[in-house]
Amino acid sequence: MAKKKKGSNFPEDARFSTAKKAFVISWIFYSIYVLLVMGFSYILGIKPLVLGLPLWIMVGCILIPVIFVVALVFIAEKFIPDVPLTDKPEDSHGNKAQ
Amino acid sequence: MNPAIISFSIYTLILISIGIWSYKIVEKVPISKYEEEFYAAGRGLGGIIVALIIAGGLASAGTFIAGPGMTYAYGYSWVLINNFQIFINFLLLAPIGIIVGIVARRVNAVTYLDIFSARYKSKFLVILLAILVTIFLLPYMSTQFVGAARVISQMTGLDYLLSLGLGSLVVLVYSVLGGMRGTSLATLVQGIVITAGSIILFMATVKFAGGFQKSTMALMSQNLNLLSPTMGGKFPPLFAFSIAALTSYFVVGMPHAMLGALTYKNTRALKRGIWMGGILVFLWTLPLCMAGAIGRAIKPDLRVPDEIGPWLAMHVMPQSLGGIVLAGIVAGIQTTVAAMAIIITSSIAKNLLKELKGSVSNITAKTVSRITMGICLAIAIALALTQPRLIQWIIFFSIGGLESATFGPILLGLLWKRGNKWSAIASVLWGTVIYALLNTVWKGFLPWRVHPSLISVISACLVYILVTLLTPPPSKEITEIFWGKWRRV
Repeated sequence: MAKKKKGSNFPEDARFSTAKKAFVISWIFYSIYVLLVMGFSYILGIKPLVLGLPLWIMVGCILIPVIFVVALVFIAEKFIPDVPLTDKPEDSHGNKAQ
Repeated sequence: MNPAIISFSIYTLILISIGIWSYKIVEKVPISKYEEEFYAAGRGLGGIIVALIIAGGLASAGTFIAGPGMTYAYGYSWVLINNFQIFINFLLLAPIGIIVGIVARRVNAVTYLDIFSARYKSKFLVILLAILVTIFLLPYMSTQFVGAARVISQMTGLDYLLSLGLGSLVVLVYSVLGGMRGTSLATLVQGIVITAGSIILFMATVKFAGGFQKSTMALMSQNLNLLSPTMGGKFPPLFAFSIAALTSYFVVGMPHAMLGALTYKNTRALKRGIWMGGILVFLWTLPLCMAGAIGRAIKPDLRVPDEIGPWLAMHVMPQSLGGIVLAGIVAGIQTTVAAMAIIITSSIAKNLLKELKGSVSNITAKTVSRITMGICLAIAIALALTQPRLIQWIIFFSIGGLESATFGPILLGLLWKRGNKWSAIASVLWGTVIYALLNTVWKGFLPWRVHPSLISVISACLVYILVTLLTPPPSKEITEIFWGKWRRV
């Protein structure tokens, strides 16, 4: 019968914690984005016009999304570690993994 | 024949030849490997293609037709709401991409439901999900054909029915023939055309309107609410948040998005898929939505708001350029239909058939998958005959339904070892039933116009957790496959 305690003694694959970390990063990143976009858009008013567009549009719809898209390049490359997807180390580069 | 039709036709011919070419590639694959080739493109897709498959699959006529349509109808408030979808690739690939990538290789999963089948080992669950996914995807697919028809009819002046037939034809050819490989090749061509088209449309519209200043003044004199972040209270913050949840937080519940997670080559491709996807969806969302809002300053009296994108393409720029823009819009639609067709086909032809009949020969699976795809496309086209005014609301309905059924079981199932088939079945049934009730008899109960999916998805997750705590953990085998250090027995 199963004598090992499940959970506590289970030898977990290290790549799983990488995956969990990636999940947390993405949700935090997106939550900050939503918070800033909504915060600025609802608080800033229509006037003054910036380059002909209402202030809240310039900041909430254009400026913040652009900043976050640029930030995403760095976050994805720096904070998500490379891990092999196959279990055999020799074909960790993927190609014809079968 | 006008120049728009010529440039559009050249593009269409290129796509059809890609379809035929990749059909030949798939035919050469030995029958034993056919499934992996057809559904997962041999699991060797690089970053830019993964980015395009997910982004192109998720950004549908919802982005390319309904995006400008909604901003035309509701002004800049909808630019704000549509911008919430920019990070869909990140929110799909980061939470589940790595686990799905590893497990899919361990159990040789090639479809969305293969993952469910491996995780929960429940015949009932797989059959239930195959049916639900098909039910919710069909109206979604039909909106794509509506979108394509609107483009063709604005471009050629043909009536809706004929345009629907023409627009559907191109999609049918390459997605039925080529499978995922055909889709991925075509996707690259389409991605380029979509991006160029969206930027051209934006610049031409702003120029035609005489700059931002002039268009803002024109909108101000029409209706000040067009410049309000909430459309003068029509879209309160909680509604906006529920759309952010629907399009992004819950995106892992979208079966056609999962294709990207099943097909990427390695974590380099995953990371590129994330940030390139961010750039692409941004370039498709913001310029088109802005064009729709500004378009209202140019042409305030369009009967069907969804026609603003195609209308602008035909009226604010040289027609040959307009043809390319419209080709881009249709391209965006095609990528979505192709991804969905593959999901429906694989659910029915592969998973449902195997659960019901046990083992199925590869030749049968191949025949059935082509027949199913044909039937589903036919139903979707038939639904498109109803000619809805703003397709966005139908799209949100479908997405909400898919997510109510699958978000809990997929996300919690991959991140939490404890969940079992009872938790998944309870969560799927609860989510679907609550969603159905909130869309019908309980419609009036929702405060601040919040989208029903917010309530059904969150409560379905709670049900998943509750049932999990009341039932035993899954078998050791499942735990080993999903989270253990692998050793093949």
